[in-house]
Amino acid sequence: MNTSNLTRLLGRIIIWGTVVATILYLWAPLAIDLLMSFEPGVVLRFPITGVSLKWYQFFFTNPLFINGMVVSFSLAIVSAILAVALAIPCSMAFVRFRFPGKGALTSLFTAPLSTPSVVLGVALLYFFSVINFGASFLNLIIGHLLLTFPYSLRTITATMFGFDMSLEEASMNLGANEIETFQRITLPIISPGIIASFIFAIAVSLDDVGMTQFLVTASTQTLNIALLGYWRWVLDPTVGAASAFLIFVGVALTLLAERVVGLERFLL
Amino acid sequence: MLGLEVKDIHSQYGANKVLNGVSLSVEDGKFLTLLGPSGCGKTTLLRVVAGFNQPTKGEVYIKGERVDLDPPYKRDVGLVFQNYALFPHMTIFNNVAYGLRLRKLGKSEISDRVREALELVRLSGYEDRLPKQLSGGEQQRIAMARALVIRPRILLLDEPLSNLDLKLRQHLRLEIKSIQSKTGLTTLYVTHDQTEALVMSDQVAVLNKGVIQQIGSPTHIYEYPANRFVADFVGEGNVFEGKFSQDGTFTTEDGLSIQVSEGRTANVERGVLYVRPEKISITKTAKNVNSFPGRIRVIVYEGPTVRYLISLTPSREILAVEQITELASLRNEGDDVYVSWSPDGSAVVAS
Amino acid sequence: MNYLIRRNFPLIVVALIAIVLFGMFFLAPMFFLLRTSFWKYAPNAVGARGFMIPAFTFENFQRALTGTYLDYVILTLRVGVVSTVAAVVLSYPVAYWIARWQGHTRLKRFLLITLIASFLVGSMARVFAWYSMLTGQGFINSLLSILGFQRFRFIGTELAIEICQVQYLISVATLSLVSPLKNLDPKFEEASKSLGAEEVRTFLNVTLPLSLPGIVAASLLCFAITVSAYVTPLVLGAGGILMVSNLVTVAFLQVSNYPLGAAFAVILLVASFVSMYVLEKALLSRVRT
Repeated sequence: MNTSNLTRLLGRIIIWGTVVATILYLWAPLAIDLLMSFEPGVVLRFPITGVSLKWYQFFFTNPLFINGMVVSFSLAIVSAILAVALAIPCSMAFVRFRFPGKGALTSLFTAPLSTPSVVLGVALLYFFSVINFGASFLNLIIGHLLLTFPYSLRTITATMFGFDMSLEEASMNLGANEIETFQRITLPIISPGIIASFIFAIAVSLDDVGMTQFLVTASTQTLNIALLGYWRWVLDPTVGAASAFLIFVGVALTLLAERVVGLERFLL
Repeated sequence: MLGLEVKDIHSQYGANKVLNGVSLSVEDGKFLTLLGPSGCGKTTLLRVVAGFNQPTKGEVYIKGERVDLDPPYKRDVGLVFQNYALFPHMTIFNNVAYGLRLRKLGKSEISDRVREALELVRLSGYEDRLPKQLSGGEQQRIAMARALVIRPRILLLDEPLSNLDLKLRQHLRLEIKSIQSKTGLTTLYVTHDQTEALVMSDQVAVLNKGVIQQIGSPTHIYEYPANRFVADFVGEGNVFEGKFSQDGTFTTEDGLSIQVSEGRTANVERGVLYVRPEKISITKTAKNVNSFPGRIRVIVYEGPTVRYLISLTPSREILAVEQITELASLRNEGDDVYVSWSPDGSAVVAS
Repeated sequence: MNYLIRRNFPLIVVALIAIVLFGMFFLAPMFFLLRTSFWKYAPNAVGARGFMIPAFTFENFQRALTGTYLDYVILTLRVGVVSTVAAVVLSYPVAYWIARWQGHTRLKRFLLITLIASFLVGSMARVFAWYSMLTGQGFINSLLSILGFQRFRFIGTELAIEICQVQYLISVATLSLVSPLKNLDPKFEEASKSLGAEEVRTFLNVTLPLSLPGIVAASLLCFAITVSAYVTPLVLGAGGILMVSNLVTVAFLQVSNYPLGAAFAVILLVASFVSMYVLEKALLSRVRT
């Protein structure tokens, strides 16, 4: 076997090896965590000493976590809806018009992406106290809107770039006014992009801790904050059950996104 | 009655004046082509008529009614886009029915008219397909069907054939023309392809840099171009700069003396003389009039025709085109020949 | 022009609302934060706003960048670099496989779902999953013990944080490398081979250099993400390891030293911003020649 074939073989081994290793590296912790959540005992251990749903029961019936779930999900859905609702007109404006300061405005709107969420959190906390802004849930919504809006804007702008304007002109030529055109033509065509950005926004909001920790109060604790608080004091398999639940939500979102948006654009 | 009339249209894009005082009219039922190079303003003019461009000045009348203040969805014009613009998320049926649904027609009438339109473009049975399943030519025909089914007052076509290959273009040109005759719609057609313009139109308007250079029938424009631009753009020509004198002689700048018949000159002293390549004959010996010696530099076979580049002087080359004949096959590059044409065969225009 | 404005009025109104919101709730707070980082920490002063006095001093930054605090800052940067390098090295072959190898569509689809799921699952699930893996009785240690090795204390080490981060960063890096690798015109590699260079040489001299902008971009992204990590060091560091985000929390919520907290926040912001914007321009312009 000459050197050329040897190196080719080596190359193939490296690549296939990394691919397989990556798949394992990415899935194994999640799978094993799932497995370990069935441990009936009070300590997380592997291998598990039995199979029991008691920690799941504990997790889903505990008012601390139930309240957390309600807060987290309602926060996520509200901020995602607001983010998308703002992002659609903004990205239409960006894609269709020329105006001075477009670059600066784009940087402004996407700046929160490069800002660590902890930084956003302290800034908002201090700012709210300075201007005497009460209302904890509203604070959370504003904060999460800052987190989610840049993602939505990016995704929807990308979709709008690919949108063919002559379709709207054809529609108007055939008799539909601006609103009818948006409803019948534009919206259906960009809806995969909108749904994808919605899913992403929900995931970002659900996951955040860095900023959220500064804006919560005792009654508006998100699930993550509640979990971290709990974990500080008690190290039992509840975290296993909780993380299994979060994994389930994440995978469900992924499959939904995959079905709606399709991953062909990456494979092409 | 005039199907379409535009008066003194001015249009600007930023600092760029795209249309500079354009006026034209199309008689009811006639086919007029806007012909010109890229950037001449022809598409802009079409879009002004359709309502997608606001002119800074001027008026548009469709069948006598003023429309330039109306939004595009109130103008009732049929528009066929260059990229067809078929709605990708709708079936062919729904694409074609779109305009009818907006006009609130009944279900059975819609379905009848859609069927009729598809028959007209010879694509019956395609109702349930999606645009992405159709070829370019088929999409183009559906785009036409969609524009025609609403029975518009006029029809506008924006370079509909430019994305298709040659054979398809040649075929569809005739189809479009035949559909237009059948429906009797006043039609405004935009293209940069002069063959298309000459083949399809009742009238041709040549545009350059936002100004109309000439309007006339295809033959008229070809035979009697109003100026150098039209002479150059429509058809090919050999162009000579020079001076025209009253005795019927045109003296070119390189010293050639060319006889021109009376009917073929514009009233200019300094002008441009052009000769169409197909009017030139190539002979072994000199002819009586307008005959100049030269050497064949390049011969190019183009199927049914042959193209010659013949040098008269080191700085002057003549393009001649002939039908393929036996005589043609005997010629070689490097031969000494005479190029000649009759005084009728050339014309003088302003530069 | 007026015509355009008239027709798109609602669009413009909403866009303006977005601008106002951002100005109010992003620019203003950030400005206040910056200002606070220069104020004096005065827990006992009378008439102080909260625990601070308006001033202009660098002492917060000095405190933040000395002693134990400095160790933590350096640790943060170190974790950032190590995780980034590991992630990019692991991701390149995978991205290469997705972008340049033909076929295996179903496996590729599965891999892409895996990568995206890794995002959407969220940091909490991920961190707790690794906690389960790395804890004293967890999966890895049980494996080690079965194989006859000694159990190792992962929780509370930098290594644990890096292991967890890299698992996340692989998604980021792979997805961001796929595009540039895909856009690499195969003609360059073909030209190289036709001139006589075999696979490895072609890869080293042509493919790798041409994909360098993509590698740089992916790395900067990974670095910015890692230095901003909060939950990962919190859980896996178990109090022994703190990164700058944790320091911000400690300063603000536990010690109520707002100026110091603001200083840490500014440091973090600078690290992240520098990584994303400035370095990108500087490095990319050199690399693109």
